[in-house]
Amino acid sequence: MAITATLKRLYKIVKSSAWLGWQLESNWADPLIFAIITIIRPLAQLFIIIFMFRFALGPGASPDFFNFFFIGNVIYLYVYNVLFGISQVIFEDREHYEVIKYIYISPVNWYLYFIGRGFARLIVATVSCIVSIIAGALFLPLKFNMTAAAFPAFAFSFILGLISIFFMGIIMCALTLVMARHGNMMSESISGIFFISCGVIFPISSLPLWLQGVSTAIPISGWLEISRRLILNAPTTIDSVWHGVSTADLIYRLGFSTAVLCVFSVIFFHFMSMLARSKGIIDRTTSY
Amino acid sequence: MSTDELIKNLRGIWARAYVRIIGVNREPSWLIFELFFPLLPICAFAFVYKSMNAPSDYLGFVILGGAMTAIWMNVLWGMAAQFFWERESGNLTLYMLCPMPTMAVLIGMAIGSGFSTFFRVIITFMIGKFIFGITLHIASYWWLFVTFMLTIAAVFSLGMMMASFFLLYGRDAWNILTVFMEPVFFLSGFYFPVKTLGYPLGAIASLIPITLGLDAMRQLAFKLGPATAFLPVGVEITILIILTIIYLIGAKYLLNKLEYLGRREGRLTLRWQ
Repeated sequence: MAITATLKRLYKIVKSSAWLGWQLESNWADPLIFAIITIIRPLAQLFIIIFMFRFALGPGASPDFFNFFFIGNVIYLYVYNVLFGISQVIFEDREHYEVIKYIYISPVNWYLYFIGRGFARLIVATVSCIVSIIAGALFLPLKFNMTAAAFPAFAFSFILGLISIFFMGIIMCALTLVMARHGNMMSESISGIFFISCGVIFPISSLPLWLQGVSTAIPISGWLEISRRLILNAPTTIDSVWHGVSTADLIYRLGFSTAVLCVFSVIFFHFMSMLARSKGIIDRTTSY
Repeated sequence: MSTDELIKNLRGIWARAYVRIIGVNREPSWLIFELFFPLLPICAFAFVYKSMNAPSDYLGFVILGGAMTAIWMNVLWGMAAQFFWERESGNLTLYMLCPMPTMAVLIGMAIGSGFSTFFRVIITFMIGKFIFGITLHIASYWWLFVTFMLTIAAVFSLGMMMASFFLLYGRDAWNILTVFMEPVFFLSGFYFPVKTLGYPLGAIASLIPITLGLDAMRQLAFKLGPATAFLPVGVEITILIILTIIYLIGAKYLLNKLEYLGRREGRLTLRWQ
């Protein structure tokens, strides 16, 4: 009984903060303008790469390249939005709206509050993702062959991947608790580093050797490779760095790293929030 | 304009530019991020070309385009959105109280940003050039410098024009500004020659001065540049001069208009809108 009540309460926290996040994301414009603005950025990002391919390879470019970058680019929308979005909450609440102290003293679990705020960005990422898929289907020679049998594995790995980026977002969020306003550059930079090192739009095998080892250790890289294999119904992709590693092994690795991230994010968030409190900077506004 | 007034304006311009030229260098982490940040997309897109075994000049195109993102980001967040920050922190009211026109503040901001961005673009480009081992084939150093300076002038004039909107609007304009990132990177051909878009779309994109500036600089700096040219360099330079003049006049007009509206509607001090 007590467990059910606790779970209900935790659910309410996540739901309320997700609603708050959604209002902040969307209530500044009417829905049509908001929808246009939500879709225009990922579309532009997609077109940049399409035109780079056209410029470098001409109209006869191999569909393998398109398939590879397209899947990576679409999934990365989640990485960028959730990772950057959660850490951005600190700056919004602390520096801009100056409400963080009220949230801190309210009877909500802070960790879950930030998870909930991340859900609003998850919705934005999902909309962008759907639009990108439609645009990709219209403008690119994509060849997706996912079988019904592969779908459960895909769904499972996708959920694992999403959960892992939520935990990474919380770790970034914990770091920003002790940073000044310009600390948001840190989260932008981390997203950028992931964009390069996780093989989002090009194979990891194109990177220098010393960087390949680092890249394959990041859970997002494995998540992208799993998704590509299952969507394309292929045992491997053009990224030779993963040849010799089975899809099941990749899913196992993703599950393990997600569990590690979960534990680490809880401990790290608790430590950093205590540190921010002990330094008296939880509600500090830096104005520079 | 009397001599006294002119001196007052020049002092106002210098005061605002000073913060941008000297002040920003007092926070080393900003400097690191400003140099490091444009390198991330540069590396990502350069590796895309590398994975396709494209000629090294294509990597050079990306590095130049990527370095120029520093200018565009500065225009968006350091110029256009600056009045938003100033209003949020209460500085905007102080600017209005100062015995100088708001245009002097904007020009000071543009000069200061232009000056600091100039060096950042060059340093970022040199780092990128070093990482990827690009060879330049400069057709004319003089015209390359002129084009670069004209591009900065035209882009910051556009930034001044955009800044005026923040006298009136708040979070809505802030969010709309985010739309001017990736779509502009796409339309202006930051990572591929704008000619690839075709002439009709390229002509529309030319309203953003960086489009023509980048195209002209690629023609002047790379062996394969002329083969991917959108317009001849001379024509692009002429258009850049015209755009600078138009955007400066537009900035003056919009500033007066929107400042008046802001005062009338009491929005100049309105926070969290």
